[in-house]
Amino acid sequence: MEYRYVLFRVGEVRYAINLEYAVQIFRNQNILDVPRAPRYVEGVINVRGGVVPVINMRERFGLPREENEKKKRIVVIRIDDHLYGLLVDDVREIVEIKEETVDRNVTSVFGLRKNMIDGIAKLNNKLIIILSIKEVVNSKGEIKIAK
Amino acid sequence: MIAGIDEKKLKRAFLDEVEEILEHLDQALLELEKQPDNTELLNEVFRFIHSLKSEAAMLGFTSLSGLAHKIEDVFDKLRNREMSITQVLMDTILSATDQLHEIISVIEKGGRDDDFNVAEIVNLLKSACGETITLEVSKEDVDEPVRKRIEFEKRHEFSCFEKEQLIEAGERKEEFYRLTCRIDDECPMKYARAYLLHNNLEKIVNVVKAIPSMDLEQESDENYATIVFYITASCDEKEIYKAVEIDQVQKAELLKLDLSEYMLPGRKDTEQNGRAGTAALSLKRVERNSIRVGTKKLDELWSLVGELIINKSQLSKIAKIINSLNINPAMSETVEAAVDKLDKITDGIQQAMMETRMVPISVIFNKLPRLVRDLSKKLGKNVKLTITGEETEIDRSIVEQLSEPITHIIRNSLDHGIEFSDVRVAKSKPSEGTITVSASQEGGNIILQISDDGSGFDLKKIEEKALEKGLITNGDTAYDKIVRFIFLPGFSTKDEVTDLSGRGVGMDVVATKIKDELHGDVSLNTDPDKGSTVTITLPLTLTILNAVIIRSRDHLYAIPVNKTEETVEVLNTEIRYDNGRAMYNYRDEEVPVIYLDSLLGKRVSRGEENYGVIIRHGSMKGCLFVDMLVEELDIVIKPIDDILNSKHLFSGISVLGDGSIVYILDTSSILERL
Repeated sequence: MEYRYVLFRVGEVRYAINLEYAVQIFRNQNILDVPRAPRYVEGVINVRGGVVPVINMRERFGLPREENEKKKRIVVIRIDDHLYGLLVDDVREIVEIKEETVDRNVTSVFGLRKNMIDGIAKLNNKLIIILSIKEVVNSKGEIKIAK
Repeated sequence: MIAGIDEKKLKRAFLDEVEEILEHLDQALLELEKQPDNTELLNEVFRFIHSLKSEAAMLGFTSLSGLAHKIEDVFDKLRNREMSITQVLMDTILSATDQLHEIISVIEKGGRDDDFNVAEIVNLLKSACGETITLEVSKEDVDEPVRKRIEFEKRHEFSCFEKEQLIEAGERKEEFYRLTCRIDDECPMKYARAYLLHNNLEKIVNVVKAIPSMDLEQESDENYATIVFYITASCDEKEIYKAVEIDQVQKAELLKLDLSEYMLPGRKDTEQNGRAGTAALSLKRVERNSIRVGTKKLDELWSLVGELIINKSQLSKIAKIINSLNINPAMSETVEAAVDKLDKITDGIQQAMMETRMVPISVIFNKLPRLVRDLSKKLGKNVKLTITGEETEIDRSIVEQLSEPITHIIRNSLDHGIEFSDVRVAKSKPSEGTITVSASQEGGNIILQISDDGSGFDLKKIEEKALEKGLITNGDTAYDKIVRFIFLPGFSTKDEVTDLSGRGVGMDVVATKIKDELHGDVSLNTDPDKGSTVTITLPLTLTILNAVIIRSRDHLYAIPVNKTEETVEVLNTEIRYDNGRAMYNYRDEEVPVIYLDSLLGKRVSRGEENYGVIIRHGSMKGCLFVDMLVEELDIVIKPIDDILNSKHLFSGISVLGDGSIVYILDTSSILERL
């Protein structure tokens, strides 16, 4: 049994989300900022006539902003019929990960709480955190990734 | 077994179906209360309950089907004249159907029906047909074979509903068969086999009756070893045999029966008693020339139409630019014609799509007879309800929010408006009061009117109260002004607080809901001792908004036109400071100045001249300073995600023709926070 994941990087860490969530990947989109929105909301983009909030994953994980932030790639995902854009440092590829290689009983890694982690996998000897992306998007509180 | 997604779909279809049945059932019951001797109505109710029971059993909602079953029992007795309808019985039945409603809404929210304790109501129903139950207990002294035969005949007897199906089948010139199937003794799950048989048959024939029944009642699995189907069919016998060719089904025997023999007694029965009732039955099943489409799909389609409209207007803009360049006159003409055509087509699509959002207002109106019945009984008043225009169509999203205000107005009418019979007679009015509810479409608006022939609002009292609260000065008693107070928050004149209304939250709540949430308007006409009429005006749809587009810094914002008074130019010298608060004198009224920039967390830039939009919410007004007024436009409203709106500044979001994003300002919330 294996599932497909979208692999991306935020800071030094590689993350994966189940491909089922992914809708589209953009780069160089025109992001319009939103007045009085939380810091991690980078702004909104227009996806096929719909307005999609973009979450800056660096900000979401409490990492410092980089210079070219707005030029980065956006992974558009769908959660419960709502679209969200995830502004990430780099989108690597779509990979297949064997379920046997995934550790699903992870407590807390890099300061990410247990409920935000769906599992940890090893791919080519590199650690990948499979995110429970719904929790990450919906979480109201601050998330701080340890360095 | 059923996969998850199918189960979801199945459940949705079930809920749709059951809600429809319940709605018909409610109507039929109220009608039945008025005409308890109408056999046709009794049969109708029986059928509704019966299909409800079957639907529920099919999906394994046992509490639901169990309760429906008990109600069915009661109606079976009523139909057979073993008992008659009394007020007490009717109340029991109505509270049982209330429970059905509740269970359904729990299921809809993802709950289970067995979360419900139906025992109490089931017992009430049982005791309602109590004596007859004991009579039916089979007598011990009857010989076993005889008892078995009686039982067989009883089980194979056709109910009225089944007889009716036979009549209909006869009219369709179908053949009538008895199909006996035997399931392998070794088969561990006979019910499952039987169910499969039943399903297969249903695909090609009409199963009138299955013995044992498929309703998942307490039959033991062994009872399904032999199963008898009574079916009517127009297909070949071979096909029927093929349908029951299932693994572990040993034997199938098809026997053609004479239809007329079976349906005759039933026919006579309906002809004898049915005549009088036919007129009362406007509830007869509506011809199905429609299909069910999920609202989600429609919403998706609707958002695509929104996109289409946006893109079309962008295309027209481009076409205009190209034409103004005057490169090639012939081509300009072609482009213009093509754009015109596209314009017409998109208009057509928009119109058609809009219609799919429309539902008849009867969705709400159908609930009113029950409301009026219960309340008037409780108050001891004699009231008749007349409904017209229930077929008027209105946007689904408006209908959902309309129920509450309408209910409130009717409660008001019943409680404060309509007098007790003796009072009415003393006023030489008919002893029975009348409440009239009507709906109609006028242009782009829906007009709802709720009138009563009661005592009318006590204007004198309202005037006194307004004086007392210092809202008016002596002598300032113009009718219009007085009437408007009724919609002011906290203005109620009923001396005695009742269970129903009159707690100071009355018409004002209605007015706020209709004006602010539904973008409509409400007005009142009242005449002492003649009655009063509340008129509600509503837009046809909430998805398209006429808005003023404004600019502040790099952002565009929209303000709903119906929330504004007008736009003004304000010189800095016209701004007055009151305790550090900027005020502007707008038509002899001091209104606070609101700087949009500061509201949006930006530094306020001040010029000599300012553009202001006068916004209002109820009696509150404000002058919103903006950088620039852009244009007035019809925009398509889209909901805004919570994470973009943590400060509740916006009521929605929209995309314009050129793809730019517009935030729709929530003016009510902005004024309320002042």
